[in-house]
Amino acid sequence: MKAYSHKRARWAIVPALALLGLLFPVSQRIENDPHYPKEYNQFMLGPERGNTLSTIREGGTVAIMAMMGGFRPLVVNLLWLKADENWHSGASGWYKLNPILQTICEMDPHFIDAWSTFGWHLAWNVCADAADQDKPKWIQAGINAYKRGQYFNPDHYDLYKDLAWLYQDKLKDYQAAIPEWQETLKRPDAPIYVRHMLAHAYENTWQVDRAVATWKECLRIDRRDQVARSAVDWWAEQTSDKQKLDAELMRILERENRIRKTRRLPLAEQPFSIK
Amino acid sequence: MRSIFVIARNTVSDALSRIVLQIILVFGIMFLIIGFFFTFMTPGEEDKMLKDLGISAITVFGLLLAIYMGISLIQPEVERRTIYALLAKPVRRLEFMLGKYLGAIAVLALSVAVMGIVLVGALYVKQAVWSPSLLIGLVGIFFALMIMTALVMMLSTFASSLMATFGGFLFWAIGYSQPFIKQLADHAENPVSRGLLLVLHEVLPKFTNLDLRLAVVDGTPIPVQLLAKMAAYGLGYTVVVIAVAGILFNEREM
Amino acid sequence: MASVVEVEGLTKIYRSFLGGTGVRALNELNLQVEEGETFGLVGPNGSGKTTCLKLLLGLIYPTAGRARLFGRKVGDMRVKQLIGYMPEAPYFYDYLTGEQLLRYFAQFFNLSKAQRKARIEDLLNLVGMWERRHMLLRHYSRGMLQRIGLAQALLNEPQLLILDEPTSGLDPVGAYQIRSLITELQRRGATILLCSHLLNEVEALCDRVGVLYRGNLKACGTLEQLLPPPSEVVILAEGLDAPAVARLEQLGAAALPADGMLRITAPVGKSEQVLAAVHSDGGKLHEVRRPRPTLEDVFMHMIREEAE
Repeated sequence: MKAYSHKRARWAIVPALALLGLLFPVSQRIENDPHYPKEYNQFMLGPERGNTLSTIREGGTVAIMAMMGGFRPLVVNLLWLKADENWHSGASGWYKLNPILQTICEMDPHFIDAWSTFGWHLAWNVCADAADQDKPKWIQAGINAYKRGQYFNPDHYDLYKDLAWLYQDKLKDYQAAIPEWQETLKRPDAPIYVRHMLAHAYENTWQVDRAVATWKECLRIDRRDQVARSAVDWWAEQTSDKQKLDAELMRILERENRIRKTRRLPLAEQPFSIK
Repeated sequence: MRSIFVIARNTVSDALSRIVLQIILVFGIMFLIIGFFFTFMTPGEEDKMLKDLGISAITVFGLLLAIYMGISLIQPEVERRTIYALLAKPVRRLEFMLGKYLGAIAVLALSVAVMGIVLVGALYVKQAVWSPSLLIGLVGIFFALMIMTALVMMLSTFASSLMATFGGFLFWAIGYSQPFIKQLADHAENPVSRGLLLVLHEVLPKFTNLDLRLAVVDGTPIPVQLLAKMAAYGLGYTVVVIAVAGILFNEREM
Repeated sequence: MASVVEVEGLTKIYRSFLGGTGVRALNELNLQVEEGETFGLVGPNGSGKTTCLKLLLGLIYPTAGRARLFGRKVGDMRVKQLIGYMPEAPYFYDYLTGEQLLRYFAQFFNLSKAQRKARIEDLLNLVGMWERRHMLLRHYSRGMLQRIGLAQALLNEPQLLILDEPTSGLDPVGAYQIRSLITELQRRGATILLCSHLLNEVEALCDRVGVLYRGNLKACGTLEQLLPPPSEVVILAEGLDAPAVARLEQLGAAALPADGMLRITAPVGKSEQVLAAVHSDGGKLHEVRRPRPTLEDVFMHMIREEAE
């Protein structure tokens, strides 16, 4: 029996498969392209990525739907509304917020407000509600959230500022805050008060020279900066007299330890000697 | 060759006269306009939401249209036997299939363009801030629609319309879960299951490779090289699927 | 002169997806259709007629054997330029009008725009659809669809016309109109392959006939070859008394009452004697017939033989 043309057409599968094979490196190149917005397409597994899988379980159908493309930004927005609702419903809503905020952050890692809110919520709200022995855990969770947000948004100052504030205001850990303030200043559009905060951090770690240099930098950027002006004048006065300087530093130390005692944080040590 | 364009033109006029297509398109446009009325958020978030909603709506309704077009290309002609008179004419089976596909793509391009215009119009009226890269996102969506239509058409060469629809939705879910499949493969302990998952990952469509939506909503500029790679993937995968569909359709006994 | 249609050992077995023995729809079919003749393919439903046509058009593929049209393989594009096909119970794109459908199909042939326009006008007039050319196909009656079906088959002035049940489902007027069209085409010298289960229609239109039954070609030839000569004479007469009837029976005729008259059946050889006897006995003749066996008679006889 003669071979009919429809059977010969079957051989077209060979070039088709060859073309399919050629597509492997093409899709690899797409995925590895630095401009390809791929992070939000990842569904992180494994302990080093946090417990996103359990969040997906908690997010449930919503998260599954999000996977099906076309819904992800929508879900993020709807969850954000839900988060807003829960935020204003007081402490009862606060524990519900955790999975919602985490889902939002993982689904849209470029949504900086979400990371900022998430970190704040963990380190401030939830921590306030938690038992004493759990508080450090929640603060650490807040720190992790900020750090993760920074990983996805390295060019935005916001999360560096937020983390620095967490160290500075909540933990009174000025030494840890300093590098964060510096990172914040490296990013474009950081507000002027960031430099002020950095200067305060130097003051509270008794690095007076650096503090004064920072205040002077503030003045250099904006001659009308009253805060920086009065700070420079003040320190000029203190440092001209060593006794006055020591007394001022002592006052700062005592004030800090008073605050740390009320917050049950480890006391600051005296790094300088009063001679 | 000319037959392909003749059939394509006929497919377009057929599709535009169908009520189902008109309904899907109208719903898509309605959805876009509804997004226009989100007023309870702060201005910055409102814009973001409108853009998100707009692009998502175009994606979702575009995919629904693609599935609908895919199932209405070949199976109805065979079921109603209108294909007999056509194939008795000097038309090859492949020309018939390509003509139908081309017509479907034309309809999809028109639909995406219409919805895109509505979205831009809504953004303009809302005086929202947006960049032209939003429109580039639409091109990415269009490539995904091309692949989806080809896949559903391929399924309908041998399966019923219902099975082809179901298959279309399955490809939709798989196509957007590809990174998840890759992650599963990377974490697989068994080399056999790892190999299997990797093969699936490469062979099945990757709609995520064509998904620029979140970047274009943020206004991030997309370099030409990335666009070229995406176009290559989109077109290349479409050609593969059409080739397989052609072989299957050739084998089919009417 | 090469045959227009040549079929050699054509076999089609439909197997289910899972394999198994399958259904033998066509078994070792051999036939030829010569240029200018009208060939009728008859058989009951399921005999393999449509299978044979689909094999000739390349809609399905043979299990064994081969078919050639105009000396070329089935599916050859050059062949398709020369054939016209009217499917059984045609159903077309219901969103088009009659004229739009013809225009759509006409674009597949090598015709200029002017030629297409002229052809379409001619054909619409030929099938009597000119007045209703702007009506949507979804509003067409069955008869109108059949006529448009025939028109689209004739767009390229085909050298071979394949018609599948051209008058099925039509009322007598419609069927008559289609038959007239076919006759006109025959007059113009077309080669026609006609598939039908209406034996009287095939008998009226075709030069040669092939009888299919359960996938096998039971008989093939001209009507003269297939139909036996008449063997009886039927006479309707009245005014014959019992002795007269007895005399007729002696001659070998059978007489039965029928509607107040006498229906006398006599073998052909004795017909003259019987007529003379009726006349001499004072009988009044109403009708004398030599009924010829129809294709239907032959066909039913064949079926009965098969059953045994």
